Amino acid sequence: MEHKVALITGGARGIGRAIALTLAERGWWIAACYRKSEDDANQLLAMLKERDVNAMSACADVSDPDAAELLVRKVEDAWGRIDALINCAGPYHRVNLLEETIEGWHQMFDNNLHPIFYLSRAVVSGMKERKWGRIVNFGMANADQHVGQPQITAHYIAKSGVLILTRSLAKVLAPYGITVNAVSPGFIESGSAPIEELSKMIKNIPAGYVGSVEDAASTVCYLLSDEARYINGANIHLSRAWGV
Amino acid sequence: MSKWLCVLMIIRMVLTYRVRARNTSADSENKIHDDATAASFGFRGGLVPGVTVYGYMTVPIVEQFGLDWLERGSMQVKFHQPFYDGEEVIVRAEAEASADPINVAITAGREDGIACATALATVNERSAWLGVQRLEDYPKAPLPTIESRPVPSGELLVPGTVLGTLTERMSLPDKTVLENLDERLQIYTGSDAVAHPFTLLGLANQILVRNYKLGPWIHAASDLINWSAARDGEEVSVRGRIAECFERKGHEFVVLDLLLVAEGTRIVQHARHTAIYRPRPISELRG
Repeated sequence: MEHKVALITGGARGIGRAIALTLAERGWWIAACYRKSEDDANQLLAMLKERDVNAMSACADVSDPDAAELLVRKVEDAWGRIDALINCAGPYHRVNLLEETIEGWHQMFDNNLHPIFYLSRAVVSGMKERKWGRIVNFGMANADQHVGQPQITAHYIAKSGVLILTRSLAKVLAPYGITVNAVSPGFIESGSAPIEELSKMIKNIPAGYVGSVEDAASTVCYLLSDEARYINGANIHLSRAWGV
Repeated sequence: MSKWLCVLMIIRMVLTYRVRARNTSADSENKIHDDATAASFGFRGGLVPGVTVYGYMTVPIVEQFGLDWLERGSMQVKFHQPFYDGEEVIVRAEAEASADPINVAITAGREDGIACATALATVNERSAWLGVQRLEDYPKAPLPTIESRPVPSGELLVPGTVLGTLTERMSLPDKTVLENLDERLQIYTGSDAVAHPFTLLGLANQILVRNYKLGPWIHAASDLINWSAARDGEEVSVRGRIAECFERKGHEFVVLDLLLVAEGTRIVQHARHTAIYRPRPISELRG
């Protein structure tokens, strides 16, 4: 019984949930990791159950390297493989740079950047053996421009780091049939940003509207497909031209 | 100390399996599986055997947990409504995989959402919640001949009555069983194949019909603990006694307390097997 397994961090809600549901429709087995969103995770599992999909939810703080490694081990123990790692977890907070706390500063790196390293190094051995794997990391639409971002400085630096980590992983893993790409959303109605904030930003989006979580899911599905096998180290802006 | 001990992780799983129900006992001595007889009891057609439905319900749990369930697992299964030949059976299992032991809730339902059978299972459990089982408490006894089997009654099915011992030698892999169940898990094939749960619980049915001459009867529920797997060539004996006998809503029930033993020494399974040995006739159902 051939099946592919996707591990999705931040998978309980928003973009991660949409990816889980979309991949499930395409026959993937879903392991959705969450940290605090237990109700959302239970809701997702119920939705996947209704769709007759094999799925699991795991509560894990992947900013802890041991927890990240254990998470990968648990999924591989249960289903024998992880074919795709989708790093969706990426909390942020808005605070002026000079008012940022030490704790808040570190949290942005601990939750946005470091888990990608911890999880990637844990999943690649199985992917290398199978000579097939996909890693998709979520960046931020203008993170490649390295502009000043005084309200979300640490988050922005972390997302810039995600792009460098993505390209570095892409280079070292390319010989093994593994691709590593970034998807960089602009304004997506995912529930993570207040709707008022999104409304205010519409005037800045060349297309004139915010994106949906399905836009992100379809992009990820494409990157996971065999059609995208030659796309590696890319950063796909998902912003309708905002931030480019 | 393992570095994992400091990491809290809660894992829940949902597992699904779909299969087309097959009446594997249409030609059996138990005429409840025959369309005409079943109709006389108010059913739409011959009942797919409960043990077959149980076999379907074990698929996701065995696929996920393998020997951890087959050798160290339990299940309490109840059959609420029948499946009929050709119906699609949707088995859904929800596991608390981070619990110790792992808990699994299983349903076998139809497309219309009706849950025809429900079960609770545990994985990697070593507690004897069905009671301590000692081989000496389950003595061997001779089976009656087919012709001399008594017709069961409340007076005959006295709790504590020792049943005649049924003995079967495992011939594995059993391709007929696997084909009848549409079973594809590899653990049941090859040189190291283990006996299918259907086969083992089927022996619980067999000991009932080899001890008593039954009319149409219905498998209602089973509570079982797996202690080891039975393998090719092993002789499995089923020993047991009547545990309970009661009437409910016009149905006459019997509960068997059974021990399945391999090679006379190793416990394979402990089971409480509940059957309606005399279903309420349709005239009473309508009355």
